Amino acid sequence: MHHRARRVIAALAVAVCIGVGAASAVSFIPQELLPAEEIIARYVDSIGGADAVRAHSSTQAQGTMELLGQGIKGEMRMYAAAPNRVLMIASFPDLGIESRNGYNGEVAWAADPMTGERILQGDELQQIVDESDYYSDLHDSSRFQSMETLEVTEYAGRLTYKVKLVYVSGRETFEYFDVDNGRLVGAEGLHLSLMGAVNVRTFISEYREFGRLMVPTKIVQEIGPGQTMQLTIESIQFDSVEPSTFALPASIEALVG
Amino acid sequence: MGATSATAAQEDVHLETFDAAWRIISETHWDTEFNGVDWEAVREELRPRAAEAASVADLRGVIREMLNRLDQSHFALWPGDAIGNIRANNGDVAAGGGGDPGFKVMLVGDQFVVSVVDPKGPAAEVGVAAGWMLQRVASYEIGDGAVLKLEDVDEHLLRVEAQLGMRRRISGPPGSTIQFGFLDENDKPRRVEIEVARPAGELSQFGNLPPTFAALESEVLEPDSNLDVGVITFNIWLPVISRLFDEAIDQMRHADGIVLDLRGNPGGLGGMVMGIGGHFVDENLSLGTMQTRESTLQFITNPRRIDTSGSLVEPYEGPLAILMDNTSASTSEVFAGGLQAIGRARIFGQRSMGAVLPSLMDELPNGDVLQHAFADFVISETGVRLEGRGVIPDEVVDVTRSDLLDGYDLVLEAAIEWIEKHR
Repeated sequence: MHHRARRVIAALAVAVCIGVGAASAVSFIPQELLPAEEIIARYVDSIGGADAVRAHSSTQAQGTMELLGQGIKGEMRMYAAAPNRVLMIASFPDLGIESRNGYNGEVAWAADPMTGERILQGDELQQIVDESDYYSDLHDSSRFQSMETLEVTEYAGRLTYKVKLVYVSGRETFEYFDVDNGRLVGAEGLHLSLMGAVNVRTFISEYREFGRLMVPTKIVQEIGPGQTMQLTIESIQFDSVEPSTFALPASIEALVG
Repeated sequence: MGATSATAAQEDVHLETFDAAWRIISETHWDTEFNGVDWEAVREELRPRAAEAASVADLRGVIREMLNRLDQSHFALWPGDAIGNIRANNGDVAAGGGGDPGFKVMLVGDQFVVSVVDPKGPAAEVGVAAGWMLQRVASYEIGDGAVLKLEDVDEHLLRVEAQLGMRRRISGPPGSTIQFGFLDENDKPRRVEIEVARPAGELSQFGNLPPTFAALESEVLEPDSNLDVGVITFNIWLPVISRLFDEAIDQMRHADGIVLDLRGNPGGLGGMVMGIGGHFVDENLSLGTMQTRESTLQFITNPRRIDTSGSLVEPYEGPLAILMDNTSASTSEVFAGGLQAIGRARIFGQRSMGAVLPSLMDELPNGDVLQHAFADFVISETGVRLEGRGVIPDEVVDVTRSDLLDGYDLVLEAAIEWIEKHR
């Protein structure tokens, strides 16, 4: 689910990234690069294992968001459900706005008072299609052209494996996995929005246990110079999201026609 | 000993604040040449003065000198205590200005003349009328010095500065009383006392910016029985305006033309041009390009095909006129310049300010707020940089005092006349 987080945060500086799993940290010093598949497997184990991830079919998360240093703070609610549905609601009381982004498996859309309602198309749509898999933490190989370990490098102050992922669509992203404990500590890649593409660096930390899963509760995203968004996850509930949550708003239905 | 410690602590905060301001710009300015300024040398030169600053005011002076070296818009230092006062008073500005005297002035030639009087405002109550010439604000005598005359400085910039300065002078804290001196319609001196009112509109805050009253007015004029012209005026680009704008558009979808009055609008949230612009174009078109160090982003219109009731509509296709003056700035210029370049709008009035750089507001260690531009901006269609240039109207309309005295708004009338011919 961290994939979704990167997308939405950059879209309006809002989104959620919730990794799933439970820990099984194994400490070692790498002598050589591990295959990407092995790094992914270690990661899945570190957050609780594949069975724990697959044990759920929907997630509801709440938290806060802040554009660091800019005095802009808001609240966010994120809903996701298998196989690939997502809804993000970001509200900024001081600004008097509420932004919504969603994907129901067929239609990806966005609505906020400043830009109005719109249906995502082209590369923007492809981005959400790529990243909306509810079980994205498992990195199902059928969704990728390739996974390749590039190097061991420092990221977010940790020694990490840098893994290059190429979706079937051709989109590329880079993920950084902690050499020591296997957890995902960050990611980097182009984010597409109405305004164009911008490189986003994500830093993931403060994993907490929710049920059988370890979930990061702090997600920081650097979105261009001087713009850093921090998400803090405060609560998570599994398997309580109503399917109607992902129904298209009436205005989006009208646009779809 | 205690005094020495306090001074040392103060020096630490001053240096920390100076260093933070310098570093933020060093890391985020889109131009690694810093507009031709040796940014490292600026730091070496001014940092000792920041350390020696005897007061917060002195420190602000040093930081502002640093910002001025860049000679670009949207670099400013906002005093944290002033912003705090504004917030604490819920917008009843305690730190200078912000209230509404009930009239606006504009430069006509080299004199400030009342351009608009709110019929329900405090100025109207004491008889102030459009066309009156402003001569005195409290103890400040305007005389012949309304606009500075400086060699080597663009006259446009001097006029902009004069108008911004006068706007601040006439807008004291709400509830305060200001004495004004005018020449009336017969050139007879008039002295009036005006109690400054709380501005109309909704109090809104965007991040570290001080709270601002955002207001939008709209009406459908019927200059004659065969012509309907929608007119929308708003004072700042903040999100609370968006919904009001959507509702206003719904009221004038069938008008023969629409006039957006951006005179005096200083800008606001740049991203809003994508939604507001989408009311007038049926395609994803780029109004402007924002170039940061790392990326190129565009302000793309989002065609607005849903009205406020949720029904399908088409973006407005009729003639669109935009009114501007020397104090229309930033987002107003991005919007007008972009629509002008793609041929969707015709601009009436006067050349705009020419201050368009996208900026962020970062809080500094001492609580002050640094406004700093982080991107360059060009009109996508033409590649024209608006910074320092402004939007050049398609129809420059010179306003005279006698026109104002006679109750004419020549800029609006020129726009309506154009709409009548092109509906």
